[in-house]
Amino acid sequence: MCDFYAEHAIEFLADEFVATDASQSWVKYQPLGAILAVMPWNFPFWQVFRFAAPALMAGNVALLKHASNVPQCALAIESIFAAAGFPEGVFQTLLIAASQVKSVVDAPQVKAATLTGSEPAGVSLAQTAGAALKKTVLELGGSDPFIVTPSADLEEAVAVGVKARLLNNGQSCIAAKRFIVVDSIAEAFTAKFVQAFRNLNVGDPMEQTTDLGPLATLDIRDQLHAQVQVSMAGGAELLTGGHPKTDVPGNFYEPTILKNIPESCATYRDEFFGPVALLFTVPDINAAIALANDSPFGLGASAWTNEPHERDRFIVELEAGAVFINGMVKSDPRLPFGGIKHSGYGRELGRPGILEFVNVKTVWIK
Amino acid sequence: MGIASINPATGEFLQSFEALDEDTLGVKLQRADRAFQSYRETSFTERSHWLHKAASILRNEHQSLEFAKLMVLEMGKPLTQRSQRSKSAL
Repeated sequence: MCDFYAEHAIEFLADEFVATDASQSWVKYQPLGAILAVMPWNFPFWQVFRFAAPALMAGNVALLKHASNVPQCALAIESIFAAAGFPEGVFQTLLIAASQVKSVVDAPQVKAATLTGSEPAGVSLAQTAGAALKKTVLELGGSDPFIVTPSADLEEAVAVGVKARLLNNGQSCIAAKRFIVVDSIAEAFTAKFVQAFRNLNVGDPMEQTTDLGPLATLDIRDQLHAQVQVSMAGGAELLTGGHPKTDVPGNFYEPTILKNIPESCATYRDEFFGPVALLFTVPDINAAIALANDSPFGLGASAWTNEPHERDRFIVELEAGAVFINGMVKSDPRLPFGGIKHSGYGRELGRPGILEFVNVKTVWIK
Repeated sequence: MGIASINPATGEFLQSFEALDEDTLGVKLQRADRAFQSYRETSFTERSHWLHKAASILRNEHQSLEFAKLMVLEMGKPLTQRSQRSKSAL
């Protein structure tokens, strides 16, 4: 990503000449100033570089307020920018409490803010920035659907589905969280999926043999377990897992699959931020699309089919910032990344990502 | 808990940090503003050079392993997954 923006920023931000009634008119892209980035702990390096690489190439300077549980990562990132030769003050880490973010947003030196994190954190930042009339980009939660149809390659869908749910210990905004499977293949998919979850090695994240490590904090584990318990009390069927691992220290949680949480259940539209897959069975792709869209979120979506007409419907009808066909949702510097609905607004990556924090200046000369 | 590293695999407390006071924060904001006034005048070539250098630091085998271990210690990501997004950050 750093290399991508280092190589392409010059073309993304080149003057664009437009024929009008002027003798010359063009669009010029200029930096805004200091941009505050409020970043999460789940991908402590990647998320920061995804913001900083385009922001710095555009000529802005960066202020990082990282999550309070990754301060050493935050300081290491600041040291990387300094060691790379960026002038003093171009990238600074601010070790501050969440309660101090408002004063930074309000500061006259700060021109805009970006946040990757939870929905409440996004609302709070947007309210503060809105009161100060400063632009924001928000990358918030997701409850991405992973739809499997009868024409899909079932083995591959299961293997990728397990990875898409559990990468980073299940703590990713673009993790596949709701597995929506058409009835005719539901039994076969479920058997393979459950077996794959049971085969996972949960343990020390430093070990080469570990598939699944601990949740980042005890609060996150407890909240996840509470969601599982509410779901089961509300009528969801537990297929595997369902408990914290209490025989070892650390915030470990069993890889868990819950089937068919009823719409009436309080957790039906929740984001599950950990190793818990929600499995739903549906009669056909009409129901699959309706269920996929029955969510406050709209970040990514993955759909598995080898039928062209189904593929085309998924691309058009799924309410998401990204649709991946026969693959897991991932971010790629060459493609824009972001969501709709309560997953936020604005885009990172690609050309749209570098245009978020620039003044798009119109120049007109008689 | 305020700003602190706690190993999620063991519950072990590693290190805590004091939040910046308002005066220090103000100094950093002023520094950012001053930096912007000159940095905005730098060329794409200069910025590209620095950003490629940052990528090369992330790419360095020894340093990238140290950064990955730091992530594992602070947030519990399996070390075997270090290449998946961190390589993309280059």
